[in-house]
Amino acid sequence: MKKGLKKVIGAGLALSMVFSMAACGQKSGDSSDSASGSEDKTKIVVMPKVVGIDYYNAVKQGVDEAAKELGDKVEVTWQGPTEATVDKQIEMLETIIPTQPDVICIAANDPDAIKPTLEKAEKAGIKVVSWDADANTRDIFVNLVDYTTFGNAIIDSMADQIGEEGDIAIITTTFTAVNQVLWIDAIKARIEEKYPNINIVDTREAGEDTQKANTLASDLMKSYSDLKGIIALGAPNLPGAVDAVVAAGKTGDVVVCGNSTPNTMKSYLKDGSIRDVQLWSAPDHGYLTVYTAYTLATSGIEAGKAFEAGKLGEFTPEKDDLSMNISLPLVEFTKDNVDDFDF
Amino acid sequence: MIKKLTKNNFFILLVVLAIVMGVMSNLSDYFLTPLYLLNATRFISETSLIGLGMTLVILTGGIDLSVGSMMALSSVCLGLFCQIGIPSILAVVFSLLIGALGGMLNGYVVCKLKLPALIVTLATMELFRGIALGISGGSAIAIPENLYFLGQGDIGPLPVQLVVTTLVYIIVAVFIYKTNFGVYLKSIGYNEEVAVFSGIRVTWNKVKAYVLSGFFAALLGVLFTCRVSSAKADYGNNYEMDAITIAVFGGASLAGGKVSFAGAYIAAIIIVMIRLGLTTAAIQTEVQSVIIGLILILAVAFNNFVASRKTVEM
Repeated sequence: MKKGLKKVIGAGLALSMVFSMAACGQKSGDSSDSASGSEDKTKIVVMPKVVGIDYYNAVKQGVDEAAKELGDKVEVTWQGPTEATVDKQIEMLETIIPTQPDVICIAANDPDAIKPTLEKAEKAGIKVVSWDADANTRDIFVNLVDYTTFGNAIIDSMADQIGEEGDIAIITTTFTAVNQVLWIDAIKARIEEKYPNINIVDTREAGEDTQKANTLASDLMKSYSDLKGIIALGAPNLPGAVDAVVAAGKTGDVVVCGNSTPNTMKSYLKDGSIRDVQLWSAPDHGYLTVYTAYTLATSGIEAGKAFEAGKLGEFTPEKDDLSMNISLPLVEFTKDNVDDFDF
Repeated sequence: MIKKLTKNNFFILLVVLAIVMGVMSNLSDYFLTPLYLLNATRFISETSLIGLGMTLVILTGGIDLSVGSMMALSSVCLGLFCQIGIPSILAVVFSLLIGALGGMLNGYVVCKLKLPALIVTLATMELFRGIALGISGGSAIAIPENLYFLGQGDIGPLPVQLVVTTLVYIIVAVFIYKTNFGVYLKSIGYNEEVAVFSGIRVTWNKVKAYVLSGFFAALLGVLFTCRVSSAKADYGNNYEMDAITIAVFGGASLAGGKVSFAGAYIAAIIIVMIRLGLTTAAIQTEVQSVIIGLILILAVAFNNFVASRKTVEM
């Protein structure tokens, strides 16, 4: 037992050894730093909410493409936690900050908890871009598609397919989710403004559950015999609604619109059970984020002043409460273009 | 001499640490800078704290899977206490007490109901996490700025976490090695029945170990919350695995009766250094997991090999 106490002291000594190594290491570190001469390269770190899931793998395709286009001008690293929690992101950022990248791009798992860490980064002279999910400290936010644009696109597609009149129903994920609320608000405003003959007869919650959306869609068709269309919001809900219409033999009589991912909807688009699906391009989100970060670090970005983002063209940042933001363009998947996407 | 040293688990851990430091400093220029390492001691201290509690419990032959959830619960409690206007210092004390109470619950259920610690703490792991999520509604709670010092401040040149954890380690080491507490826990871990017949107050001592584990988890929750400036119910996910890893890597036998506190501390340094170093060197997280997994298997296998050789030669 006495030996044990000595070991604990030994452990303390080991720690001080670590520090003495640090003292020696610093000199060599400094010299190699100035020798490597990587000063002119813009170092960009892109951090998703979590790594190793299909959606962010698709985003990474765009990140890699932008990095390749910018070539020698940038050094882009893609790093994220294996679980989508903010504490893991904080730990990673704390170790990334001392390496002095020029820009950190983060899809925050929690906008508030990440704030002090991002403030630390800004104090160290690092620019912060938030993307996908906003953070409460950032120089610019690269948002998904603007909510109004998105809602309008869905109801426009519906109106076009049902001839601008008739009863429709909405299946949403939950009544409280921010994106759902704003999309439905946009849809309602558009109906009031442009399509006075379209009636929303019912709005139901399906969570993010294909099976539940399927049952709800069947019930809606039974309850409202004149139903002309169903809008299913939420990536897992759309295929459920389409299946219900197909099973009822009402393809073409009851039109389905909504948002989902291309891989999920590929077969439905090809057999004609749905005409188009609204979303954004995940790779483009990664691509735009890298270009935004690069522009921010090199020539700077100002609200109201357009900047060039490679193949995606020009974007004009809008001022908001925190700093400014830009939004991704909407993408409409049809049977002709769905094969171009893989996520 | 060399033969003797290779039989010493602690010496091997030091060698592994030296190798890890060497490799990491080659991977990244930033690794061996004082600023980087001082910052790293925040993580090392936090991780070793949770490993210390686990080591105590494993010494009794038990296990405590609820530490990660307890950390989240104490974090959320700290946030809520501050929100309803309890002074910061008291809020910290109450949050730590909740940790001790949670540990006491674990300990008494294990001892009185004679249930396996694995099952009991698996249940309280869900219980504590559920309470944390329930009372916070899953959203982040900001804490008052006068608490930031506990997580982001320095005492002299040293981060607060380093000072706190060092003190905790010294106190625990003194109790374990200078009083009978260590002997009691060890005897319970080796053979509980023999311990009972030797007149050791088994329940009392075991509960103490669980209380300490819960307390340290809550302390980690407080330090962590103060570092990131907000409380949240999803903190500490899978930290119980980190804690077990550290204890076992440090030389603990999950059968009980054999642990190494110093070993656990070095193990915490090694694991955190690998993780931070690989992140700094921009190595993908998936690859990091594989590397850490492989190192652990090798280290534990080597430990076992050394241990078996020891018994044969004795």
